[in-house]
Amino acid sequence: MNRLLATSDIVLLKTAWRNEKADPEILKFQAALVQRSREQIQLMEDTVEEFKRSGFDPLIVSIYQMDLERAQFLLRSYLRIRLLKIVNDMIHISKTDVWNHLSREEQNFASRCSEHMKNYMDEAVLSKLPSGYQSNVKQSIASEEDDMGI
Amino acid sequence: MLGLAATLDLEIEQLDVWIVFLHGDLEDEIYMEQSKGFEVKGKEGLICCLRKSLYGLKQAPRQCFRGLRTSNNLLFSSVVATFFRWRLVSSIVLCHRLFRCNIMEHTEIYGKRACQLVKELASAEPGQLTRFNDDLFNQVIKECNVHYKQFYELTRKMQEEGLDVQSARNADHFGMLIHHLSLLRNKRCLMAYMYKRAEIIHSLSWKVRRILPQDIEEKLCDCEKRYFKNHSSALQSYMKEMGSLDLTVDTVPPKDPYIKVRVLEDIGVTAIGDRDTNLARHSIHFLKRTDAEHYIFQGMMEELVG
Repeated sequence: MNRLLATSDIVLLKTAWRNEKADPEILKFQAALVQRSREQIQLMEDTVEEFKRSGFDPLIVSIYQMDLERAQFLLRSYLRIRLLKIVNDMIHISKTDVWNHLSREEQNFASRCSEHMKNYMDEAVLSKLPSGYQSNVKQSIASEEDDMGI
Repeated sequence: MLGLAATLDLEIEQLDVWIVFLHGDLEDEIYMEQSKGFEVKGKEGLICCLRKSLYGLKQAPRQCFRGLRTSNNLLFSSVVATFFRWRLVSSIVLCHRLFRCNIMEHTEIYGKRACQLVKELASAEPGQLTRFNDDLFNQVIKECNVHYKQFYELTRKMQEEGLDVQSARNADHFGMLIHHLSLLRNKRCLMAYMYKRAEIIHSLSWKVRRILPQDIEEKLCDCEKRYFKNHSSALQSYMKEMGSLDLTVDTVPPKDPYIKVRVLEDIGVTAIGDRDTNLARHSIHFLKRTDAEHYIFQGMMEELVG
């Protein structure tokens, strides 16, 4: 067994991770790749556990363990970077085509985050301001478009 | 400001305000000794009665402002604007030559408190929260409501005079505009203050599961505490939907699978991996990085390097 994850998949995951890191916009969710990676990581975790129990050479086990952890890091970091982008750019993402780049779980997360942020702003600031100035997207009712910039 | 004047077809006047202070008439009787080197020969024992403000006199700003405010000349009104160093006002006021601007009913600097609030954010350590400034925040809210009240009164006044609020261009109209713009500026500052603090709260929810360390919790207002709880739970829901994948661990690329840690606070017997480990104070362990990360962030363990 040369590598834990099939070479093509780990390379694809690394590329996807690198692209996501570099691009300020959120890219299309690599659903199939993520699914395959998760399955393979799970399989390899079980295999490494099996090796540990059966007294396999500890050095080789630890090398496989490290390889496994690198794959896990890539996957977690990929998902994390996407979530950070969602949180930073909630309004833009929910109002444009970028919404379709999100997975179903990410869309649920984005909706919840938007709702919480709106409630937070309403409670902390907007409900205390005079009427006509209570929108979180428009500066006032006199604004023609969403000009709050958040 | 130049752009605004160009777009709205306004006229600009420019003036120097360095010596404005010295033109304020004094209402109270103020006396001073003759300055050294400037005594009148033969009258060294006499004192002077001041007629105009001196720079350094504590009444000087008020006297200067009173003089300007009662003046009919828009030029002076514009001096008031630049005097208070408020660019928005000066851009609106430095306009139509014929009209005065009815705004200065308070001798306060508009937007100063909101500016202080935002400056607090800027002067804090990056990524660190300061204590929520309840007092200042509420003062800014109060200022917004005052602006709105004045705005509304001017609207009513114009309507009573039979003027169209949208198109009439008199002093009251410009006064309304300034109250409106001041309110907007305050609103933007307040939202920026809350939003920047929310960003720090986001980063906390990655490091801390559901319970905030006490020293951080003390700095949050009630809204922020609720927001943290909600945001954390949105994150937890996502991770659960992804098949219990914990994304809050493993935040640095793995170098060594196990790290050496010293326990700083007595944690007690805890299940780590498939074993129960006694995490007593001062004990040293080799743990998986993912198991130790949360404790390290909360200050209950430290990584021993080298």
